[in-house]
Amino acid sequence: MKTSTIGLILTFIILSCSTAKKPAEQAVSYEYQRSGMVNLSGQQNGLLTVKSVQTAENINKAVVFAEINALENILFRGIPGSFQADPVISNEKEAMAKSKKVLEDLIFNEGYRTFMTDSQLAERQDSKGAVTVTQQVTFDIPALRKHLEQNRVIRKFGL
Amino acid sequence: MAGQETTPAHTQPTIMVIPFTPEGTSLRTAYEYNELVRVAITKVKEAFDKRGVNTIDLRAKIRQTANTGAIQEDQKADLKDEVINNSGADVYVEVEANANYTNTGNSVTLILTAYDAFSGESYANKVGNSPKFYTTNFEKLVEKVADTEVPNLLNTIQEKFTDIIDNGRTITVKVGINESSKLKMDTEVDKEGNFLSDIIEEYIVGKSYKGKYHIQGMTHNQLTFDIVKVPLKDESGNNFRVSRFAADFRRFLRTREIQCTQTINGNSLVFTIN
Repeated sequence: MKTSTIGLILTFIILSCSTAKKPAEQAVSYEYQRSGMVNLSGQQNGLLTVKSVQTAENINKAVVFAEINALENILFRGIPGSFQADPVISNEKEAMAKSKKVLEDLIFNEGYRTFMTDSQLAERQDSKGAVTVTQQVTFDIPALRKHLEQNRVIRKFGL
Repeated sequence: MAGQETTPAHTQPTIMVIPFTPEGTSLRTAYEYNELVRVAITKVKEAFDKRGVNTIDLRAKIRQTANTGAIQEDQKADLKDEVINNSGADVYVEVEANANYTNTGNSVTLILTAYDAFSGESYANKVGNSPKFYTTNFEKLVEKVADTEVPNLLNTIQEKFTDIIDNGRTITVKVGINESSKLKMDTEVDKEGNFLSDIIEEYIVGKSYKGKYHIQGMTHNQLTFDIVKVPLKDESGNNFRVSRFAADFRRFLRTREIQCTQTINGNSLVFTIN
């Protein structure tokens, strides 16, 4: 009796372990955060090519993050060693306050694609639940500058 | 469109690009006998063109200066100043390009300096070196370094322009006393016991843009302000006129029964108290 009871209990334990489902792994959702990992890759005739590194939970999202990161660094930080070593927009805070919609449309609502002449995946690193990409992105800086001048985000050259 | 700000008035400065001239070399010689410099100057002018800014032609100005008869071709030490003064340029950019020969390859050093034509204030300075190549095509190397440095030069100049819009232009004011005058800078000129230098300084404080000025030096018969900030536009929105500043200062001195003469040279004012 005792033996059969123990056996029953053991069987029950074994069966519950084998049929119990592991709780589903919670997918991590990455939010965009600007980084300084943007370096000059090439420049010619007003076209500026940079390599930008970003991470997200999938490759498509990571690529978009990298493109936005590249643009933000060009606009607000400048790219050392390039013809745009100074930022296109010298005062980010003031510009965001004065021209919020224009800049949000440009940066976060894919407006930048008009000025992006090329975007290539240079490197990809997969880890658990994340993809880190190095994206080589090219922007047409004179066209970008003209767009910002026309929308009064920056002044035209002069006094 | 609703909610859109009115566009602030925008003024195009006039720019002239010139070669760097060592002592004893005329501008014409420096320009016509140095292909590297000509390429560099052309790249600088091209960059201004792309930003929508016209540049004054150097050779035309040299010819104009020579034709006035005011200066002889062989007065080389003064030629640069004469050309700049007669050009009407607000800003001039001095360009120097030097070829470098090494065992590991040749390169070009490009030196660019932008100045305010009247005050001599430096707007931007850039030095760049091209990569090294085993080549004697130095013109190509100049293009390479100019492609990077010239846009950066323009960006820095624009930052200075923005600073001018925010903090005013610089004029210089020199107040001197005629030898025959009974006044000195430390002469009491009012019942409160203020010296002549005190009332002049107080006037400058009141009239300078945001109260910004700097005294270079003072002696018993001279007071020099090497920086006096004035607004870009007057109350009516017109370009601020230095001549009006001068007239207002003379009228102020008249209220203290002090007479003076004035000389205006660009952004430089010189008053002589009688």
